[in-house]
Amino acid sequence: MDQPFIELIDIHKSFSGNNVLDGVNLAIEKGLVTCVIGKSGCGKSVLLKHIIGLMQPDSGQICVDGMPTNQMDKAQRHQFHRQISYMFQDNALFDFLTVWENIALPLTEKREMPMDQIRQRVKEKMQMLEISNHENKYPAQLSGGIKKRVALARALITEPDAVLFDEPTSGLDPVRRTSVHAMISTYQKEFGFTAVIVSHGIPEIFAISQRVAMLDQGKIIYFGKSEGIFQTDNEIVKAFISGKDA
Amino acid sequence: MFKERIEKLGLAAIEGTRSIGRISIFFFQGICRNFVPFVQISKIMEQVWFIGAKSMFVIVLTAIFTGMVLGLQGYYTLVDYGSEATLGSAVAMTLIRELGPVLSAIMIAARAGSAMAAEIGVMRISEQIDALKTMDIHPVRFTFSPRLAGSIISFPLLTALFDVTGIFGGFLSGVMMLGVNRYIYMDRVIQSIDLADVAGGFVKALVFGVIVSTMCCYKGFFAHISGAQAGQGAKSVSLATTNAVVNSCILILISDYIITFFLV
Repeated sequence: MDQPFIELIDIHKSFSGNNVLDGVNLAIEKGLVTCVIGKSGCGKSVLLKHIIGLMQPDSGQICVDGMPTNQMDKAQRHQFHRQISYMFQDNALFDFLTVWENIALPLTEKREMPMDQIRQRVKEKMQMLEISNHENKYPAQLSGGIKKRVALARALITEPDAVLFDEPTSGLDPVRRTSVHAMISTYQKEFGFTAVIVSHGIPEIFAISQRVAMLDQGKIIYFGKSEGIFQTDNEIVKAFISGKDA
Repeated sequence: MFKERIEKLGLAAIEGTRSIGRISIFFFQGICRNFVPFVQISKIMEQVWFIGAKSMFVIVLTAIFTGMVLGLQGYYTLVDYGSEATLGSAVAMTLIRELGPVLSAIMIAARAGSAMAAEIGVMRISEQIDALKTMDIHPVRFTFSPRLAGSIISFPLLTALFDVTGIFGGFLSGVMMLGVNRYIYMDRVIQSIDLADVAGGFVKALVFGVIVSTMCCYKGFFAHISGAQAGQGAKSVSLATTNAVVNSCILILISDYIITFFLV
Protein backbone atom coordinates (compact mmCIF):
# COMPACT_ATOMS: atom_id res chain seq x y z
CA MET A 1 0.00 0.00 0.00
CA ASP A 2 1.19 3.54 -0.79
CA GLN A 3 1.95 5.92 2.01
CA PRO A 4 -1.41 7.23 3.30
CA PHE A 5 -2.11 10.94 2.89
CA ILE A 6 -3.27 11.31 6.50
CA GLU A 7 -2.26 8.83 9.15
CA LEU A 8 -3.34 8.69 12.77
CA ILE A 9 -1.05 6.57 14.91
CA ASP A 10 -2.16 5.41 18.37
CA ILE A 11 -4.10 8.58 19.20
CA HIS A 12 -5.28 8.95 22.79
CA LYS A 13 -7.47 11.76 24.05
CA SER A 14 -9.42 12.02 27.27
CA PHE A 15 -11.63 14.75 28.76
CA SER A 16 -11.91 14.79 32.57
CA GLY A 17 -10.84 11.15 32.79
CA ASN A 18 -13.20 10.03 30.01
CA ASN A 19 -11.24 8.29 27.24
CA VAL A 20 -12.76 9.55 24.02
CA LEU A 21 -9.99 8.32 21.73
CA ASP A 22 -8.25 5.26 23.09
CA GLY A 23 -5.52 4.27 20.68
CA VAL A 24 -6.99 5.24 17.32
CA ASN A 25 -5.08 4.09 14.23
CA LEU A 26 -6.37 5.19 10.87
CA ALA A 27 -4.84 5.59 7.42
CA ILE A 28 -6.59 7.84 4.92
CA GLU A 29 -5.62 7.31 1.33
CA LYS A 30 -5.18 10.13 -1.15
CA GLY A 31 -8.02 10.87 -3.53
CA LEU A 32 -10.56 8.65 -1.78
CA VAL A 33 -13.68 9.42 0.24
CA THR A 34 -13.42 7.96 3.73
CA CYS A 35 -16.42 8.14 6.00
CA VAL A 36 -16.25 7.83 9.76
CA ILE A 37 -19.34 6.41 11.41
CA GLY A 38 -20.22 5.67 15.02
CA LYS A 39 -22.72 6.40 17.74
CA SER A 40 -23.41 10.01 18.76
CA GLY A 41 -20.79 11.25 21.20
CA CYS A 42 -18.29 8.48 20.41
CA GLY A 43 -15.62 11.02 19.37
CA LYS A 44 -15.95 11.27 15.59
CA SER A 45 -15.82 15.08 15.55
CA VAL A 46 -12.98 14.98 18.08
CA LEU A 47 -11.09 12.73 15.68
CA LEU A 48 -11.63 15.17 12.82
CA LYS A 49 -10.56 18.13 14.97
CA HIS A 50 -7.33 16.32 15.78
CA ILE A 51 -6.55 15.98 12.08
CA ILE A 52 -7.04 19.71 11.36
CA GLY A 53 -5.18 20.72 14.53
CA LEU A 54 -8.05 22.25 16.52
CA MET A 55 -7.30 19.69 19.24
CA GLN A 56 -4.04 18.12 20.31
CA PRO A 57 -3.80 14.45 21.27
CA ASP A 58 -2.69 13.42 24.76
CA SER A 59 -0.42 10.94 23.03
CA GLY A 60 0.09 9.54 19.55
CA GLN A 61 0.97 11.10 16.26
CA ILE A 62 -0.80 12.50 13.21
CA CYS A 63 1.12 12.48 9.95
CA VAL A 64 0.16 14.34 6.79
CA ASP A 65 2.06 13.22 3.70
CA GLY A 66 4.43 11.40 6.06
CA MET A 67 5.21 14.52 8.10
CA PRO A 68 4.20 14.47 11.80
CA THR A 69 2.03 17.55 12.42
CA ASN A 70 3.59 18.17 15.83
CA GLN A 71 7.04 18.48 14.27
CA MET A 72 6.06 20.98 11.59
CA ASP A 73 7.74 24.39 11.57
CA LYS A 74 5.80 27.60 10.86
CA ALA A 75 6.13 27.38 7.06
CA GLN A 76 5.15 23.71 7.01
CA ARG A 77 2.16 24.47 9.22
CA HIS A 78 1.00 27.21 6.80
CA GLN A 79 1.41 24.73 3.95
CA PHE A 80 -0.54 22.10 5.92
CA HIS A 81 -3.45 24.53 6.43
CA ARG A 82 -3.42 25.27 2.70
CA GLN A 83 -3.61 21.55 1.98
CA ILE A 84 -6.50 20.71 4.27
CA SER A 85 -9.87 22.45 4.64
CA TYR A 86 -12.58 21.83 7.16
CA MET A 87 -16.33 22.11 6.76
CA PHE A 88 -18.09 22.61 10.05
CA GLN A 89 -21.30 20.89 11.11
CA ASP A 90 -23.11 24.23 11.41
CA ASN A 91 -21.12 25.75 8.54
CA ALA A 92 -19.45 28.43 10.75
CA LEU A 93 -20.11 31.14 8.17
CA PHE A 94 -19.38 34.69 9.29
CA ASP A 95 -22.79 36.30 9.66
CA PHE A 96 -21.40 39.85 9.23
CA LEU A 97 -19.85 39.01 5.87
CA THR A 98 -21.65 38.49 2.56
CA VAL A 99 -21.51 35.17 0.70
CA TRP A 100 -18.77 36.54 -1.55
CA GLU A 101 -16.73 37.82 1.40
CA ASN A 102 -17.15 34.52 3.25
CA ILE A 103 -15.88 32.50 0.32
CA ALA A 104 -13.01 34.88 -0.44
CA LEU A 105 -11.92 35.23 3.19
CA PRO A 106 -9.12 32.62 3.23
CA LEU A 107 -7.55 34.42 0.25
CA THR A 108 -8.26 38.08 1.07
CA GLU A 109 -6.84 37.71 4.57
CA LYS A 110 -3.54 36.42 3.20
CA ARG A 111 -3.07 38.84 0.34
CA GLU A 112 -0.79 36.34 -1.35
CA MET A 113 -2.83 36.54 -4.54
CA PRO A 114 -3.75 39.65 -6.56
CA MET A 115 -7.32 40.83 -6.05
CA ASP A 116 -8.38 40.20 -9.65
CA GLN A 117 -7.26 36.57 -9.37
CA ILE A 118 -9.17 36.22 -6.10
CA ARG A 119 -12.30 37.61 -7.79
CA GLN A 120 -11.85 35.19 -10.68
CA ARG A 121 -11.42 32.18 -8.41
CA VAL A 122 -14.40 33.07 -6.22
CA LYS A 123 -16.51 33.55 -9.34
CA GLU A 124 -15.48 30.12 -10.65
CA LYS A 125 -16.30 28.36 -7.39
CA MET A 126 -19.63 30.15 -7.10
CA GLN A 127 -20.56 29.17 -10.62
CA MET A 128 -19.58 25.53 -10.05
CA LEU A 129 -21.63 25.36 -6.86
CA GLU A 130 -24.51 27.31 -8.44
CA ILE A 131 -24.60 30.07 -5.86
CA SER A 132 -23.68 33.02 -8.09
CA ASN A 133 -27.04 34.73 -7.54
CA HIS A 134 -26.49 34.77 -3.75
CA GLU A 135 -23.22 36.72 -3.96
CA ASN A 136 -24.36 39.76 -1.99
CA LYS A 137 -26.60 38.03 0.52
CA TYR A 138 -25.74 37.44 4.16
CA PRO A 139 -25.79 33.90 5.64
CA ALA A 140 -28.98 34.69 7.59
CA GLN A 141 -30.78 35.23 4.26
CA LEU A 142 -29.89 31.77 2.92
CA SER A 143 -31.56 28.36 3.18
CA GLY A 144 -29.79 25.44 4.89
CA GLY A 145 -28.79 23.83 1.60
CA ILE A 146 -27.33 27.03 0.15
CA LYS A 147 -25.39 27.64 3.37
CA LYS A 148 -23.83 24.19 2.97
CA ARG A 149 -22.80 25.06 -0.58
CA VAL A 150 -21.31 28.38 0.56
CA ALA A 151 -19.39 26.55 3.29
CA LEU A 152 -18.17 24.04 0.71
CA ALA A 153 -17.14 26.84 -1.64
CA ARG A 154 -15.15 28.45 1.18
CA ALA A 155 -13.53 25.09 1.98
CA LEU A 156 -12.57 24.63 -1.67
CA ILE A 157 -11.38 28.17 -2.42
CA THR A 158 -7.76 27.41 -1.50
CA GLU A 159 -7.94 24.33 -3.76
CA PRO A 160 -6.97 21.97 -0.95
CA ASP A 161 -5.78 18.39 -1.25
CA ALA A 162 -8.20 17.22 1.43
CA VAL A 163 -11.52 18.40 2.86
CA LEU A 164 -12.81 17.22 6.24
CA PHE A 165 -16.59 17.25 6.58
CA ASP A 166 -18.05 17.25 10.09
CA GLU A 167 -21.58 15.86 9.79
CA PRO A 168 -22.40 17.84 6.66
CA THR A 169 -26.00 16.62 6.60
CA SER A 170 -26.97 17.07 10.23
CA GLY A 171 -30.29 18.83 10.68
CA LEU A 172 -31.30 18.39 7.04
CA ASP A 173 -34.33 16.51 5.75
CA PRO A 174 -33.78 13.29 3.73
CA VAL A 175 -34.10 15.08 0.38
CA ARG A 176 -31.54 17.74 1.27
CA ARG A 177 -29.32 15.07 2.86
CA THR A 178 -29.20 13.18 -0.41
CA SER A 179 -28.50 16.37 -2.34
CA VAL A 180 -25.62 17.34 0.00
CA HIS A 181 -24.12 13.85 -0.35
CA ALA A 182 -24.50 14.09 -4.12
CA MET A 183 -22.89 17.52 -4.05
CA ILE A 184 -19.87 16.26 -2.08
CA SER A 185 -19.52 13.25 -4.37
CA THR A 186 -19.79 15.34 -7.55
CA TYR A 187 -17.25 17.94 -6.45
CA GLN A 188 -14.90 15.34 -5.01
CA LYS A 189 -14.79 13.71 -8.44
CA GLU A 190 -14.47 17.09 -10.17
CA PHE A 191 -11.74 18.54 -7.95
CA GLY A 192 -10.17 15.23 -6.93
CA PHE A 193 -9.66 16.09 -3.28
CA THR A 194 -9.37 13.56 -0.49
CA ALA A 195 -12.49 13.61 1.66
CA VAL A 196 -13.07 12.52 5.22
CA ILE A 197 -16.74 12.63 6.17
CA VAL A 198 -18.16 12.17 9.64
CA SER A 199 -21.74 11.14 9.07
CA HIS A 200 -24.83 9.52 10.52
CA GLY A 201 -26.39 9.19 7.07
CA ILE A 202 -26.44 5.40 6.91
CA PRO A 203 -26.64 3.67 4.46
CA GLU A 204 -26.57 6.47 1.83
CA ILE A 205 -23.12 7.64 2.94
CA PHE A 206 -21.68 4.28 1.85
CA ALA A 207 -22.73 5.02 -1.73
CA ILE A 208 -20.34 7.99 -1.97
CA SER A 209 -17.50 6.55 0.13
CA GLN A 210 -14.75 4.20 -0.91
CA ARG A 211 -13.58 3.56 2.66
CA VAL A 212 -15.49 3.30 5.94
CA ALA A 213 -14.14 3.54 9.46
CA MET A 214 -16.29 2.83 12.48
CA LEU A 215 -15.37 4.31 15.83
CA ASP A 216 -16.62 2.67 18.99
CA GLN A 217 -15.50 3.21 22.58
CA GLY A 218 -12.45 5.17 21.45
CA LYS A 219 -11.19 2.59 18.95
CA ILE A 220 -11.57 1.96 15.23
CA ILE A 221 -13.43 -1.35 15.19
CA TYR A 222 -13.91 -1.50 11.42
CA PHE A 223 -11.88 -0.10 8.58
CA GLY A 224 -12.21 -1.22 5.02
CA LYS A 225 -14.01 -0.83 1.74
CA SER A 226 -17.52 0.51 2.05
CA GLU A 227 -19.10 -2.45 0.27
CA GLY A 228 -17.31 -4.80 2.69
CA ILE A 229 -19.04 -3.42 5.75
CA PHE A 230 -22.17 -5.42 5.02
CA GLN A 231 -20.17 -8.67 5.10
CA THR A 232 -18.40 -8.01 8.38
CA ASP A 233 -18.66 -10.47 11.28
CA ASN A 234 -18.34 -7.74 13.88
CA GLU A 235 -21.59 -7.80 15.85
CA ILE A 236 -21.33 -4.15 16.96
CA VAL A 237 -20.87 -2.97 13.37
CA LYS A 238 -23.70 -5.18 12.13
CA ALA A 239 -26.02 -3.91 14.84
CA PHE A 240 -25.08 -0.28 14.21
CA ILE A 241 -25.62 -0.29 10.46
CA SER A 242 -28.92 -2.10 10.87
CA GLY A 243 -30.02 0.45 13.46
CA LYS A 244 -30.16 -1.98 16.41
CA ASP A 245 -28.57 -1.66 19.83
CA ALA A 246 -25.65 -4.10 20.15
CA MET B 1 -12.41 21.34 56.31
CA PHE B 2 -9.42 23.64 56.67
CA LYS B 3 -7.50 21.69 54.04
CA GLU B 4 -10.43 22.03 51.60
CA ARG B 5 -10.52 25.78 52.09
CA ILE B 6 -6.80 26.04 51.47
CA GLU B 7 -7.23 23.92 48.34
CA LYS B 8 -10.02 26.17 47.06
CA LEU B 9 -7.91 29.23 47.75
CA GLY B 10 -4.98 27.67 45.92
CA LEU B 11 -7.16 26.77 42.93
CA ALA B 12 -8.56 30.30 42.83
CA ALA B 13 -5.02 31.71 42.93
CA ILE B 14 -3.92 29.40 40.09
CA GLU B 15 -6.96 30.33 37.99
CA GLY B 16 -6.37 34.04 38.71
CA THR B 17 -2.73 33.74 37.62
CA ARG B 18 -3.79 31.87 34.48
CA SER B 19 -6.30 34.59 33.64
CA ILE B 20 -3.69 37.30 34.05
CA GLY B 21 -1.33 35.32 31.82
CA ARG B 22 -4.04 34.75 29.22
CA ILE B 23 -5.12 38.39 29.10
CA SER B 24 -1.48 39.58 28.88
CA ILE B 25 -0.70 37.26 25.96
CA PHE B 26 -4.00 38.24 24.34
CA PHE B 27 -3.16 41.95 24.68
CA PHE B 28 0.38 41.66 23.29
CA GLN B 29 -0.78 39.48 20.41
CA GLY B 30 -3.47 42.07 19.72
CA ILE B 31 -0.89 44.84 19.47
CA CYS B 32 1.68 42.89 17.46
CA ARG B 33 -0.84 41.43 15.00
CA ASN B 34 -1.95 44.91 13.94
CA PHE B 35 1.17 45.37 11.88
CA VAL B 36 -0.18 43.75 8.73
CA PRO B 37 -0.92 47.11 7.08
CA PHE B 38 -2.89 46.35 3.93
CA VAL B 39 -5.27 43.88 5.49
CA GLN B 40 -5.78 45.73 8.76
CA ILE B 41 -6.31 49.37 7.77
CA SER B 42 -9.81 48.94 6.38
CA LYS B 43 -10.81 46.87 9.42
CA ILE B 44 -9.39 49.51 11.79
CA MET B 45 -11.36 52.20 9.92
CA GLU B 46 -14.52 50.12 10.29
CA GLN B 47 -13.92 49.96 14.04
CA VAL B 48 -13.26 53.70 14.26
CA TRP B 49 -16.64 54.13 12.56
CA PHE B 50 -18.35 51.67 14.91
CA ILE B 51 -16.67 52.62 18.20
CA GLY B 52 -16.12 56.29 17.45
CA ALA B 53 -18.60 57.74 14.98
CA LYS B 54 -21.56 55.65 16.13
CA SER B 55 -20.94 56.55 19.79
CA MET B 56 -21.07 60.29 19.11
CA PHE B 57 -24.77 60.67 19.79
CA VAL B 58 -24.65 58.96 23.16
CA ILE B 59 -21.51 60.93 24.10
CA VAL B 60 -23.06 64.27 23.15
CA LEU B 61 -26.25 63.45 25.05
CA THR B 62 -24.39 62.35 28.18
CA ALA B 63 -21.96 65.25 28.02
CA ILE B 64 -24.55 67.96 27.62
CA PHE B 65 -26.55 66.84 30.65
CA THR B 66 -23.41 66.24 32.71
CA GLY B 67 -22.28 69.77 31.87
CA MET B 68 -25.71 71.19 32.70
CA VAL B 69 -25.78 69.42 36.08
CA LEU B 70 -22.26 70.66 36.82
CA GLY B 71 -23.34 74.19 35.89
CA LEU B 72 -26.39 73.93 38.11
CA GLN B 73 -24.68 72.38 41.13
CA GLY B 74 -21.60 74.55 40.70
CA TYR B 75 -23.60 77.75 40.53
CA TYR B 76 -25.59 77.11 43.73
CA THR B 77 -22.43 76.09 45.60
CA LEU B 78 -20.36 79.03 44.36
CA VAL B 79 -23.06 81.67 44.75
CA ASP B 80 -22.99 81.19 48.54
CA TYR B 81 -19.38 82.39 48.49
CA GLY B 82 -20.00 85.06 45.89
CA SER B 83 -17.75 83.18 43.48
CA GLU B 84 -20.21 82.30 40.73
CA ALA B 85 -17.87 84.00 38.27
CA THR B 86 -15.53 81.00 38.60
CA LEU B 87 -18.25 78.62 37.33
CA GLY B 88 -16.50 78.28 33.94
CA SER B 89 -13.29 77.13 35.64
CA ALA B 90 -15.11 74.62 37.84
CA VAL B 91 -17.02 73.08 34.95
CA ALA B 92 -14.04 72.95 32.59
CA MET B 93 -11.56 71.54 35.12
CA THR B 94 -13.96 68.89 36.36
CA LEU B 95 -14.78 67.78 32.84
CA ILE B 96 -11.31 67.84 31.33
CA ARG B 97 -9.49 66.29 34.24
CA GLU B 98 -12.00 63.71 35.44
CA LEU B 99 -15.52 63.39 34.18
CA GLY B 100 -14.77 63.68 30.46
CA PRO B 101 -12.42 60.69 30.18
CA VAL B 102 -14.21 58.55 32.80
CA LEU B 103 -17.80 59.07 31.71
CA SER B 104 -17.03 58.77 28.01
CA ALA B 105 -15.11 55.53 28.65
CA ILE B 106 -18.00 54.11 30.68
CA MET B 107 -20.52 55.10 28.01
CA ILE B 108 -18.41 53.58 25.23
CA ALA B 109 -17.94 50.42 27.31
CA ALA B 110 -21.71 50.17 27.65
CA ARG B 111 -22.41 50.81 23.97
CA ALA B 112 -19.47 49.48 21.94
CA GLY B 113 -17.73 47.29 24.54
CA SER B 114 -20.81 45.17 25.15
CA ALA B 115 -21.22 44.76 21.39
CA MET B 116 -17.57 43.68 21.04
CA ALA B 117 -17.93 41.05 23.78
CA ALA B 118 -21.23 39.73 22.42
CA GLU B 119 -20.08 39.62 18.79
CA ILE B 120 -16.82 37.80 19.56
CA GLY B 121 -18.63 35.55 22.06
CA VAL B 122 -21.11 34.49 19.38
CA MET B 123 -18.19 33.87 17.01
CA ARG B 124 -16.68 31.62 19.64
CA ILE B 125 -19.76 29.51 20.37
CA SER B 126 -20.70 29.18 16.70
CA GLU B 127 -17.21 27.85 15.87
CA GLN B 128 -16.34 30.88 13.70
CA ILE B 129 -13.10 31.35 15.68
CA ASP B 130 -12.23 27.68 15.08
CA ALA B 131 -13.03 28.24 11.41
CA LEU B 132 -10.45 31.06 11.33
CA LYS B 133 -7.84 28.70 12.74
CA THR B 134 -8.58 26.07 10.10
CA MET B 135 -8.13 28.78 7.44
CA ASP B 136 -4.77 29.72 8.98
CA ILE B 137 -6.06 33.19 9.90
CA HIS B 138 -4.90 34.31 13.33
CA PRO B 139 -8.12 34.76 15.33
CA VAL B 140 -6.66 37.47 17.59
CA ARG B 141 -5.60 39.49 14.55
CA PHE B 142 -9.04 39.07 13.00
CA THR B 143 -11.14 39.81 16.09
CA PHE B 144 -9.17 41.86 18.59
CA SER B 145 -6.39 43.82 16.83
CA PRO B 146 -8.65 46.14 14.77
CA ARG B 147 -10.87 46.81 17.79
CA LEU B 148 -7.87 47.68 19.94
CA ALA B 149 -6.52 50.09 17.31
CA GLY B 150 -10.01 51.51 16.73
CA SER B 151 -10.42 52.16 20.46
CA ILE B 152 -7.00 53.81 20.78
CA ILE B 153 -8.01 56.23 18.00
CA SER B 154 -11.62 56.77 19.07
CA PHE B 155 -11.45 57.16 22.84
CA PRO B 156 -9.37 60.40 22.93
CA LEU B 157 -11.50 61.92 20.15
CA LEU B 158 -14.74 61.08 21.94
CA THR B 159 -13.30 62.40 25.19
CA ALA B 160 -12.51 65.70 23.45
CA LEU B 161 -16.07 65.79 22.14
CA PHE B 162 -17.39 65.08 25.64
CA ASP B 163 -15.29 67.89 27.14
CA VAL B 164 -16.38 70.50 24.60
CA THR B 165 -20.05 69.48 24.76
CA GLY B 166 -19.96 69.37 28.56
CA ILE B 167 -18.53 72.89 28.74
CA PHE B 168 -21.34 73.98 26.43
CA GLY B 169 -23.84 72.22 28.75
CA GLY B 170 -22.43 74.19 31.69
CA PHE B 171 -22.82 77.33 29.60
CA LEU B 172 -26.48 76.49 28.94
CA SER B 173 -27.41 76.07 32.59
CA GLY B 174 -24.98 78.61 34.12
CA VAL B 175 -25.20 81.39 31.56
CA MET B 176 -28.50 80.95 29.73
CA MET B 177 -30.60 79.81 32.69
CA LEU B 178 -28.94 81.23 35.81
CA GLY B 179 -27.53 84.44 34.42
CA VAL B 180 -23.76 84.13 34.84
CA ASN B 181 -21.99 86.57 32.52
CA ARG B 182 -21.19 84.73 29.28
CA TYR B 183 -17.86 86.53 28.70
CA ILE B 184 -16.67 85.80 32.21
CA TYR B 185 -17.75 82.13 31.88
CA MET B 186 -15.82 81.65 28.62
CA ASP B 187 -12.86 83.68 29.85
CA ARG B 188 -12.63 81.49 32.97
CA VAL B 189 -12.82 78.35 30.85
CA ILE B 190 -9.96 79.52 28.62
CA GLN B 191 -7.84 80.85 31.50
CA SER B 192 -8.14 77.79 33.71
CA ILE B 193 -7.26 75.08 31.19
CA ASP B 194 -3.62 74.39 30.52
CA LEU B 195 -2.00 71.87 28.25
CA ALA B 196 -1.09 69.51 31.11
CA ASP B 197 -4.78 69.08 31.99
CA VAL B 198 -5.72 68.31 28.41
CA ALA B 199 -2.76 65.93 28.02
CA GLY B 200 -3.68 64.20 31.29
CA GLY B 201 -7.22 63.71 30.04
CA PHE B 202 -5.96 62.23 26.80
CA VAL B 203 -3.58 59.87 28.62
CA LYS B 204 -6.55 58.63 30.62
CA ALA B 205 -8.65 58.23 27.48
CA LEU B 206 -5.90 56.18 25.82
CA VAL B 207 -5.52 53.90 28.84
CA PHE B 208 -9.31 53.49 29.12
CA GLY B 209 -9.50 52.65 25.41
CA VAL B 210 -6.95 49.89 25.88
CA ILE B 211 -8.73 48.61 29.01
CA VAL B 212 -12.23 48.55 27.48
CA SER B 213 -11.25 46.95 24.18
CA THR B 214 -8.95 44.38 25.80
CA MET B 215 -11.39 43.39 28.53
CA CYS B 216 -14.44 43.22 26.24
CA CYS B 217 -12.71 41.31 23.44
CA TYR B 218 -10.99 39.00 25.93
CA LYS B 219 -14.26 38.12 27.65
CA GLY B 220 -15.93 37.41 24.32
CA PHE B 221 -12.96 35.48 22.96
CA PHE B 222 -12.86 33.20 26.00
CA ALA B 223 -16.64 33.06 26.52
CA HIS B 224 -16.44 29.25 26.39
CA ILE B 225 -14.03 29.21 29.34
CA SER B 226 -15.41 31.94 31.57
CA GLY B 227 -18.97 30.81 30.90
CA ALA B 228 -18.18 27.11 31.31
CA GLN B 229 -20.63 26.72 34.16
CA ALA B 230 -23.35 28.25 32.03
CA GLY B 231 -22.59 25.83 29.19
CA GLN B 232 -21.25 26.95 25.85
CA GLY B 233 -24.37 28.55 24.50
CA ALA B 234 -26.23 31.84 24.61
CA LYS B 235 -25.93 31.96 28.40
CA SER B 236 -22.14 32.00 28.25
CA VAL B 237 -22.26 34.92 25.79
CA SER B 238 -24.61 36.91 28.04
CA LEU B 239 -22.37 36.15 31.03
CA ALA B 240 -19.28 37.20 29.06
CA THR B 241 -20.97 40.45 27.97
CA THR B 242 -22.07 41.34 31.49
CA ASN B 243 -18.66 40.55 32.96
CA ALA B 244 -16.93 42.50 30.20
CA VAL B 245 -18.86 45.71 30.91
CA VAL B 246 -18.74 45.40 34.71
CA ASN B 247 -15.01 44.57 34.75
CA SER B 248 -14.27 47.39 32.29
CA CYS B 249 -16.10 49.94 34.46
CA ILE B 250 -14.33 48.80 37.62
CA LEU B 251 -10.93 48.86 35.91
CA ILE B 252 -11.65 52.32 34.49
CA LEU B 253 -12.29 53.69 37.98
CA ILE B 254 -9.27 51.95 39.53
CA SER B 255 -6.91 53.05 36.76
CA ASP B 256 -8.37 56.58 36.91
CA TYR B 257 -7.27 56.82 40.52
CA ILE B 258 -3.80 55.46 39.73
CA ILE B 259 -3.25 57.81 36.76
CA THR B 260 -4.58 60.82 38.71
CA PHE B 261 -2.22 59.93 41.59
CA PHE B 262 0.76 60.17 39.21
CA LEU B 263 -0.51 63.22 37.33
CA VAL B 264 -1.28 65.57 40.24
